[in-house]
Amino acid sequence: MAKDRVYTSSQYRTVIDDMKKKDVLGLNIVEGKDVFMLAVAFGIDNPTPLKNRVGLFLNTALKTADKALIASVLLGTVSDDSDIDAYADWDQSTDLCEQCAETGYQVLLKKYNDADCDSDLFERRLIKELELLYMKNVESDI
Amino acid sequence: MAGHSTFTVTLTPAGDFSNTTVKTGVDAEVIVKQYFDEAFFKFYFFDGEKLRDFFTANQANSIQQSIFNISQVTLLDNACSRLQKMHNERIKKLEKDAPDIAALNAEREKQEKRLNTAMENLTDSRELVTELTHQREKLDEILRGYAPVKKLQKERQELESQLTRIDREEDEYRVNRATFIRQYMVLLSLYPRLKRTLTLVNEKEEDGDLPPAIDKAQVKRLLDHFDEPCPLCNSPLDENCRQHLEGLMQKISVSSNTSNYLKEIKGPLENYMEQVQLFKAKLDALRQTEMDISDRKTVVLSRLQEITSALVNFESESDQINVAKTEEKRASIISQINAANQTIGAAKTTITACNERLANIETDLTAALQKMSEHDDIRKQITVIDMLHTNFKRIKNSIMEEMKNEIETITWNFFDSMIWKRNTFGSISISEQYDIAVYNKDHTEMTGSLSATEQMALAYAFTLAIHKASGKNCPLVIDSPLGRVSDDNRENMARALRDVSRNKQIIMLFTPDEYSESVKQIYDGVAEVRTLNLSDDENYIEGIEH
Repeated sequence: MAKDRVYTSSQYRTVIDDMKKKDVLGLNIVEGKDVFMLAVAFGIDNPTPLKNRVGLFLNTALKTADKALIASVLLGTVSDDSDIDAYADWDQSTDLCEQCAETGYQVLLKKYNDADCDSDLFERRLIKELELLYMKNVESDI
Repeated sequence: MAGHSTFTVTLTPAGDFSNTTVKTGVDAEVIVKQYFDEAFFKFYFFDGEKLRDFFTANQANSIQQSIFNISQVTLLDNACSRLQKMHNERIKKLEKDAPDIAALNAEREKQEKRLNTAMENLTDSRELVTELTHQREKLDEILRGYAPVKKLQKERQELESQLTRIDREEDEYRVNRATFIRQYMVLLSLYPRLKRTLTLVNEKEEDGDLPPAIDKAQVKRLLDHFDEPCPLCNSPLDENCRQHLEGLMQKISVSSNTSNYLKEIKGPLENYMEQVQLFKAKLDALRQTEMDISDRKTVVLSRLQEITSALVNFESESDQINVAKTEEKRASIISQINAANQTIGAAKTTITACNERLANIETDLTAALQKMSEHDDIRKQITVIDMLHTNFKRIKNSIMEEMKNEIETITWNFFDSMIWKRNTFGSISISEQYDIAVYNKDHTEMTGSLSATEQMALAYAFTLAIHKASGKNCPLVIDSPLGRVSDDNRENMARALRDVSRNKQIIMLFTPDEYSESVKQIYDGVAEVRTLNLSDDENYIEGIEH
């Protein structure tokens, strides 16, 4: 049976709620899927299996633009001689994203704590990271 | 031996060998149980030479256990043990996770007090801010009405409005910055995969695979059901067809489902690529906004400081108004407003925290009450268990008491019939622990001063009483029945045992010395006597003489 929702480990459910409560990165005004995609971004290269999973949000909350992001996490790893049908699999894509997010929640929490829970300092550091990411992933690709 | 598959019992009615029957298995065990119940196996054989061991403390325990078995109270005793264990388990559970409702209620009370205090602070501070704002407006009004500082006051009001607007812009900027970070953290981290996916979609489109001219799933279905005719022309499929279909499978790189999947995400992917290209421009715009806000704020604050300074140091030309004092008062009011606003902020935080804590306490209390209800069930179970335990114990004690009294009476009857001193002994008593005591007619205990013969009589009487109380028709085997009896009393004891044997099968094993002429005369014609011829080392029987 196809998955009808996206999951997270029960331990990170608390972390997410705490981050939302503290309004870290304006997370208290965004939907669960946005927090999830942010965590996917932070853990994109290091998927971690889930433990004691709990539901985070239903697939019905996802729009086409969100689906494109989730689908690309798996499709973007396809090699030229691969069977594309195997990579164009929604359930496997969400599974991989859940595992990336699992790492991502830890990374997000660590970065926030490293900034002594100072939101302004945390955001300024993230902007620096964005500039480095742009140089690494975009400018070097042009 | 019982329980062994070859165990058999042969029954021969006295002197009638033609009606001999053989029982095996369970039937054999039933027969054995009728005569030799393992529940009190210790009382089938009596060694007269070991009379001294009969009344030791260890023996009393063993006797008690045998009485338990005979009177069937072992089952009740086991039930009592089991009930006690159940009782202990439940008590342990109650102690282990007893919810502390009192502590939760105390915590709730504490949080409610804290909440009420915060609410009062909030209300008071809001009222104070309103009042102080009103006072400040009055002072502003005064300053605006005084011509020499009217212009400065008007400018200050304009600057304060500007500052409020800048603060709002700053808040908006922070929201935009957080949104920017969230959006671009996703786009830039996923960029290589987004780009690879878009390239893949574009390549497939250029190759004409989106949508595929032929449905890959349909071709696969045909190959999987190759023995069926072609669904289009209904002709049978041959080897050429198979090769053709396999070639098509190789050629078609995406299924219709995948084609739809890729086509659906193409638009958003292109949009993401465009967004990524705008990263630098958006970041620059954000920085520019931040700098702009910061610069404007600095200018406004600086000018406000200048105006405040000018008003504080203003020397009034008339006695109507003291501008410096008014300004000082205004500054003090603003300071109080700021302090009150801080109190409002703190009160709001406390209220939120208290409400959250109270909600958690409510949840815990609900769970605790639920647990209490479960514990009520456990308490009810304990009540029932205790009631059963008490009743089982009472029944057990009652049965044991009845059995003890019966054994006591029978023992006395046997003892009395076996003792030839008719006017010496008056009664026998058996304690809870099955210690036997003999009393004389004057109710003085004589157990310790019984002669060996009397002790033997007492032991026989007690053993026979147990036999009788058990309801089992089993024989009693006595080795050396007169072994410890003094010469003077041998004939008396032999006679007593003979009298008992009229109603009870007794097998007595005498040594030649023991079976003297006088004893022989007592049993001749009354008992069946057999002589066992033993080997020289007395280890086995060589023959039996009638």
